[in-house]
Amino acid sequence: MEIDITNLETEMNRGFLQILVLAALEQKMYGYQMLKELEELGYRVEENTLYPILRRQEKNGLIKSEWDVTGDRPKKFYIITPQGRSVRKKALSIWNEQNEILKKLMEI
Amino acid sequence: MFQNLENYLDEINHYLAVSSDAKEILAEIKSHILEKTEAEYKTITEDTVNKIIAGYGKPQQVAAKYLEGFEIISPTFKRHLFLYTGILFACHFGLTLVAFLFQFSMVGFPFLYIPDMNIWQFIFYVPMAFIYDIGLVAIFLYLMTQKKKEIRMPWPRLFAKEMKKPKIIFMILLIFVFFLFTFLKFGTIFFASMNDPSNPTPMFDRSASLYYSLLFLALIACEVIGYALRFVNRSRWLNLIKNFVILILLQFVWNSPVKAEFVKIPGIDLKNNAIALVLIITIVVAFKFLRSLISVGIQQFTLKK
Repeated sequence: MEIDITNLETEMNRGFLQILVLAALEQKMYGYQMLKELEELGYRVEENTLYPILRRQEKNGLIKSEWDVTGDRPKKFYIITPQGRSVRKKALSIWNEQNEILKKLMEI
Repeated sequence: MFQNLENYLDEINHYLAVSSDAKEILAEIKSHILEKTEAEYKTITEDTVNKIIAGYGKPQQVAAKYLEGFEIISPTFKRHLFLYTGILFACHFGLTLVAFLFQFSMVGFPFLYIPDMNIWQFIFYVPMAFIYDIGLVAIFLYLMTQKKKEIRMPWPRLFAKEMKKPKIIFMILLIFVFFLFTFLKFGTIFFASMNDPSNPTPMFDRSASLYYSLLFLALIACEVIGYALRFVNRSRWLNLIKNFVILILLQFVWNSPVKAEFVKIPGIDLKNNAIALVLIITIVVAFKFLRSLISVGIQQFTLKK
């Protein structure tokens, strides 16, 4: 019988997605564009999961946004802030450390 | 504009009511849905928009993702909700019972009003009191949660202490035997004068002497039985039931069908002294009843969890 790991995957994605967003927003992007970019990289994320994360990161000052109303319809673009870069650096460092610990454990 | 999209956004907005930036959130969702519809179907119609909406998720679930971290009551206060409601309801119920038994009303503006009730009103009042109490505690915990500070809410253990061994039972038993003997010998346990020990003066007439003596003997007997039962069972319920029965007996003292004729002694107001004595006993018993009610409440809400 196959074990369902959906809940575990959701938990793991929660942290990973935070770093992923900070990494992706090195260049200016709007939500749908980001979903497509991540999908091309092989990572599928629910749209109703991505937008609340963007909102929380913006509230925490890690990213900033602005509406572009020049096209057919308004689009909200996001980009990382200097504070976001600093957080991303620390988060990546933690992530790498965790990865190392896991590797060591798996070697044993 | 597309009515189905507007309806969908309205639904999300309904669940986002507490969010200060609902307008911004909805604008973004709308922009995304239209963008995705065009990208995937090349044309934006009611049908194609509907398909994209279906994939976006149910309005309540979508809104819930934006509201994560905005708890109404912190999960750390869950136990407090039950415990505090238990304590508050125990006090409320106790006061209601006392007010009902002794036929008076109580006002503690703006939180408490217990009217003078008949039995039916009392039966309907009690569940309503519980709902009121849980609401009051919930409001209090909501305010504490919204403060977002690290608050350590008190966790009362005062009433949850182990019941002690019934050490004073022999003293109470002795008192009971003494009063029983007195009653059997003189037909009363209340005296106005003991100048002649072989023939003391009863405090009131014969029928009142009989009525009040029997009631007070029953009251002391309750104490004796209550303490004696502790040797076999130290349940807090025992105390609660004992105090409840004593309160009922006291109610028969206050609402007595027998009108006592007090003997007249110059310089001493026997009636007022008797009322003061019964009042003190009632207050003490009411307090003990409340304490045992809270104790049982705490036991039910906490120790079993």
